[in-house]
Amino acid sequence: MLTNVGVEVKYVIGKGVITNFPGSQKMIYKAELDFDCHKSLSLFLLKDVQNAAEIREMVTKGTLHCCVIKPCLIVHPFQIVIAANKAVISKMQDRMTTRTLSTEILYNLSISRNITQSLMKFGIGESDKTMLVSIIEEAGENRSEIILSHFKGVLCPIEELCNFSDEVLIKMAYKIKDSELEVSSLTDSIITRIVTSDFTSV
Amino acid sequence: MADDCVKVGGLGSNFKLIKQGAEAKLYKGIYLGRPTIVKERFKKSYRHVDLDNRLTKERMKSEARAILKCKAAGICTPALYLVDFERRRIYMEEIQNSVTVKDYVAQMSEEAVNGDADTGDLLMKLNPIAQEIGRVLGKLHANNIIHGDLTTSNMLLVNNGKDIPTVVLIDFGLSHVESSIEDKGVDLYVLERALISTHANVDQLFQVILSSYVEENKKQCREILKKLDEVRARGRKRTMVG
Repeated sequence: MLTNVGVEVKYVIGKGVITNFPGSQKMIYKAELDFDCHKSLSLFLLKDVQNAAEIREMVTKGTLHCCVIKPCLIVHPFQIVIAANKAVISKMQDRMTTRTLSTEILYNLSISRNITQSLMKFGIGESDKTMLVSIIEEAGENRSEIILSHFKGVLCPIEELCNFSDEVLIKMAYKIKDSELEVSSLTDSIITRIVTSDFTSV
Repeated sequence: MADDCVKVGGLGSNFKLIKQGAEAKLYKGIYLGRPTIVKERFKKSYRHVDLDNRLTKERMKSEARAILKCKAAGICTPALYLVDFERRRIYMEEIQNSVTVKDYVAQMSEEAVNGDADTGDLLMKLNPIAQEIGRVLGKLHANNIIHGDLTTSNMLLVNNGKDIPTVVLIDFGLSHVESSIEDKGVDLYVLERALISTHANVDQLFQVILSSYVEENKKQCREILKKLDEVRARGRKRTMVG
């Protein structure tokens, strides 16, 4: 689970090399997903990424199996956990709306029922420099190193996410009024919407 | 049930059965790293399968929608973690540091009895809570949400360190959206009956609840109170005259 980050350390990755730094666990947010699915989610925050276009192409083509998300619309990693959990369960029950797990996560993050719009809104653009990489792994699997090696950027402590979240944009995207935030945290309001968006409109 | 800490149809061994009603079983455990309540609805085999599935799905949708609508209306409800129609389960946040209004009132009543305090003192202690409940219900109906099962077991009090506790509404299984005054009147009547039957000595609380209710739901409160009188006049052994 999320551990406390003491010192801010930067890790440069890419060029096919990931160095094992002590305490590098602080760079990952890892969560166990639904019991039946035996999967877990690993989340990494990257900045100063130089090859967004290349990454996008690899993900679209299917050569890179991960979900790359725009950090500005994410307020807390748990938001992605909920969307990813919904996605793996949909896959297990054979009723995904989109074609891959990665696109399903992006679709779930959005409250719109339009797939293309959802992917555009929450996925990265060709020239994005910051991104959240979410990797779904089977129990015991560790694909993170290989996947991250394709990114030419700097790995940040996951805590730095708050520097990239845009609360104004998030409230607009999820249609959350300030009056609601008096009785609910922003994260709780978002996840309740994610979980009900397929049969409710806000 | 022999073992309630059981891997029940994929819930995992860390879920414990905590309650069983006519509609559903309630489980408590950790899900996605957070304390969670799972509401699993039964299959009613006496119903036709398609009808049962349809009904259950509709009830689950109503419940989830009401929870979201309440948040948007400024009413505290548990956050939802997953709505699984196939397994008929709703996974939601387990509200920490909470007690049902029912248990709280029972506790306070008992303390009053033991401490030889009179009903007046007890009512004074419960006043702020009754006022807050009235406020929350006023907001609920002002936003056209009908709870459908307003009892003190379906309201949680959370210790937030302030004078006025937070009231969290739960169990929206019978809820729906309705702008008419009839259903709102009935909603309040159900609460009144619940108060009278479970907390006999403090049924005056209902008046306190109503007074802050009208403050919050100014628009329809007059008609709703009239309707409440009407509804009271219905029911068993009551003549609907006048």
